[in-house]
Amino acid sequence: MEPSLGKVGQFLSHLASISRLFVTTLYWACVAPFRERRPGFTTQSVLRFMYETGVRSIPIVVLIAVLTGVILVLQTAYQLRRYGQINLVAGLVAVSVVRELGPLLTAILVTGRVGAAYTAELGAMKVAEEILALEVMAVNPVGFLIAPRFLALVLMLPCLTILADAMGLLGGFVIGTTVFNISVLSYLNTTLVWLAFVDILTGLVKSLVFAVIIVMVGCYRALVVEGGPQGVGQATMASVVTSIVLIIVADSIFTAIMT
Amino acid sequence: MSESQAGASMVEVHHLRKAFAGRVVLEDVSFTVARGTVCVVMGGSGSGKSTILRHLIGAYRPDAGQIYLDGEEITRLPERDLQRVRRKFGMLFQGGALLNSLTVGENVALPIRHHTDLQEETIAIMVKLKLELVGLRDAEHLKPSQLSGGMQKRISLARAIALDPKIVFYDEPSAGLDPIVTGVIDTLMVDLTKKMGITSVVVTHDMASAFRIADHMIMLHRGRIVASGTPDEIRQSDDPLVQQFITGAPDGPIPLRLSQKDYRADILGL
Repeated sequence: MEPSLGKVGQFLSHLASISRLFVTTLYWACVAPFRERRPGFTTQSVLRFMYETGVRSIPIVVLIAVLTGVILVLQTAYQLRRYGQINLVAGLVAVSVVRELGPLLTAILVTGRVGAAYTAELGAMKVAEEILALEVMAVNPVGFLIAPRFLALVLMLPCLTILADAMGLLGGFVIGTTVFNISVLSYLNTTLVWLAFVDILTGLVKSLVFAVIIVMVGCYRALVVEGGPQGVGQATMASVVTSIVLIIVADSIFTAIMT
Repeated sequence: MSESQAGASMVEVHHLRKAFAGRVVLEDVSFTVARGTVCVVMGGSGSGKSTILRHLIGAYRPDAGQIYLDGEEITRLPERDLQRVRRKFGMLFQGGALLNSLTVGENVALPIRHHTDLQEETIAIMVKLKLELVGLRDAEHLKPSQLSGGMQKRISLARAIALDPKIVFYDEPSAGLDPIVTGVIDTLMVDLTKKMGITSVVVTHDMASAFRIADHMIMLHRGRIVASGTPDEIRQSDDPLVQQFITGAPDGPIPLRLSQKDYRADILGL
């Protein structure tokens, strides 16, 4: 890395390398299984990563999503009650959760849980020369290590997002109908009137993009680790920060286009 | 794809040159390794011996020079062809570099699974054969983290020879091992070379081990070859640099104190 490039230049050069890695990963994850004689990864490894990244993230995602729904209802009801519009709470909460907070919070949680783990694990492998050993054995590290993680997260993050959406709506529903005495029928009705199918779809497309960001940043940071345990620690930190920044930037662009 | 002139050598290095960020690490390095022999590359830390190894396995591309492995020039090969060449050799890494998420048996099976269409039963037999060669058949179902450093290196050697390579590269095979385990690894290396006709290139700074196993030795200093010959020739060399390395004298052509600044001036802050 040229020191004269400066921070912005460095960031752009990293972004270019991540994009190249993404293209290679796409090949190994989507094309190679049908074209190469040996795809480099097994279905079992994808299933194992799906379990580790998806299934085991369920409790924390449920907890955060329910509480987000609760907080949203409490905050919006507090504001709307002053204008006598408390029946609008359900609609506002539904749209904010499904369009925005469900995908975003799930992605940030998964960045911390999964992205960090990918960087730390692969970074430790890089430092221990395990990745070089794979290359010397003519086993492509992208196909063997990154492709199954990529497939697992790209499949699981949208699923987790749907779960988060549902749990967020549930949390809001429980508080709205108990604390604020909105009738069950009215709450459900407002939710359904305000929520369009396209909102759910937008959220899912976002979560797909977020999954790509988390995997690619996480794995890229690991591949460029230099210098022992301290390097792995720094890479993990950088991976989480870069992922969250890119997720929020991508979210802003998305929202600007879609609204 | 150019062919090498002499077909007798398994490894040929011609005028290799490499610099990192303007600092020259290798300069005009040339040597050959005959088929079925052990070549030891010696040198102190930072002499460039590991860099040579990285070039031989295709991890680094040189600034100038050629490398022929089994008659094929590898320095300018595209990645796909390099993969094909890499199936001809195995490598023993300094720390073993076994995959910690897999068992010992799965580690040894990995290259076989990846490069052949053999049945699972056949692979299981091959794994047992290779593990028996290094004397660790019982470790098959253990994880690498449950093994000692020396055992990990033996497993790594079993993995390196899983596909019966023509060449095996060794990076500091005795680093961090006690003398007995070093002896075991040395014996395994010589056995593989003599019985199976494997060509070995060993990078080490362990002189006792080097003299035990070498057919040919090369000594590097600051990126250049300063001595080359049979173990006897090296032992009898009157080059003070070579003698300092063999005897391990703390001061000599390679100075004890590396500081450039005048000591008194530095201390007194002049």
